[in-house]
Amino acid sequence: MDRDDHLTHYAVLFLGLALIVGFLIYFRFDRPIQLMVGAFGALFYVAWGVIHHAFEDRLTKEIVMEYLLFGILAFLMLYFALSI
Amino acid sequence: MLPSMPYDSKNLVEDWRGDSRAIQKYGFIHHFIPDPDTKTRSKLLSTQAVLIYFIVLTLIFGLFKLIPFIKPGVLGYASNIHIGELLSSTNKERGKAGLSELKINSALSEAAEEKAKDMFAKGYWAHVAPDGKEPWDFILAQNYDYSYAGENLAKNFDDSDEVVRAWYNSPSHRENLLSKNYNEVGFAVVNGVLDGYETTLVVQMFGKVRTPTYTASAPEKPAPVVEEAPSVEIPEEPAVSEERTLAEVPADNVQPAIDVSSAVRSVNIVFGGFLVSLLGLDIWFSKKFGIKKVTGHTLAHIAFLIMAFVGVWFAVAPGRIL
Repeated sequence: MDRDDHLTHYAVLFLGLALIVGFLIYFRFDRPIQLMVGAFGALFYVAWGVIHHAFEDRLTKEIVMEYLLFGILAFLMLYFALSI
Repeated sequence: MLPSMPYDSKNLVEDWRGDSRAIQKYGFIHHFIPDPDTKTRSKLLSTQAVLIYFIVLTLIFGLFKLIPFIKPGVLGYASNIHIGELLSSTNKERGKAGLSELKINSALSEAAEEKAKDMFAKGYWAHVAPDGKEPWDFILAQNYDYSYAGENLAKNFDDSDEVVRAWYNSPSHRENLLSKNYNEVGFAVVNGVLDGYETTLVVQMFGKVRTPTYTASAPEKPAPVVEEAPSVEIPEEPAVSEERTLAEVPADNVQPAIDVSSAVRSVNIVFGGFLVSLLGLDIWFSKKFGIKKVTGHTLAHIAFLIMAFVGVWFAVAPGRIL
């Protein structure tokens, strides 16, 4: 993967994450929608990680697990904060 | 002690062979920095460690849920809500929509107060009480004979503007706020313990007294109409009742032993700071010592976690509306 592709992938990631934060703030008085946005954010992140590493041709089970764990961890934090 | 560059772990182990404490230190330091031998992240970023974080987070969450049952009132939501601000924010939104201002009505305020006290006494958070008592029952109990009435509820908010903003952002509550059918409003801001949490309940009751317009169609019976609608004089009271109601209500500050919002944010900062620091160390050491790991992208993890922490910090409004 060349440098431009790498930058494009990261631009997509940062744009996606910024949009998710924007939606979380926009729907701050609607918890069910916030939870859906959070879940979508976690899925987006895992999908980004898998696709990005597949393009890099170095996708392994461990890497998928790593993205999955970080995705779940972030969603769990949001879920707990919204449920308390 | 950290090794100096170049980082040759084989030589280090050779050097430290006779020094078991040094080897222990070498092992311990890899809880925080990546291991060049195994080409893995620090142990505190391993799969097992992340699974332990799941358990720790769940335990903290469980503690937050358990404390209100063991020690009711210890956890709570700090608040500083004033009726005057609630009224002005409500009227500001109505003004923007080109609607007339609502006047405070003491009967509606009294009904709102009774509703809030009823929720604390019976331990519920709903428009209809467990015994079937509806908002209209509280309004009618104050001899407020209405043609239109409505109710908005809020709890766990920390300031007045947030309450009105939350109502405004919900279509059904906004319908009440911006209804042409109401010309009067009553508020109650009552502190107490609900579901084990020290909190502040805000009740907003809207109304419009039944006008004797139908006397025009029944001019021959004016007297019964006046008798049946004693509250027709209420619209003349607001100027007096507004002064009295607003003056009588003190600043409603709640300062629980542990403020839930602050506690959630603190856990977020400590935990988030810890993870992002570990990932930052991972990038730094990997680059400094040329450790090539077969892992996910650390920068992406940092960006994702920061998004989650920012989301929790700014987006999680503790207040709830009904």
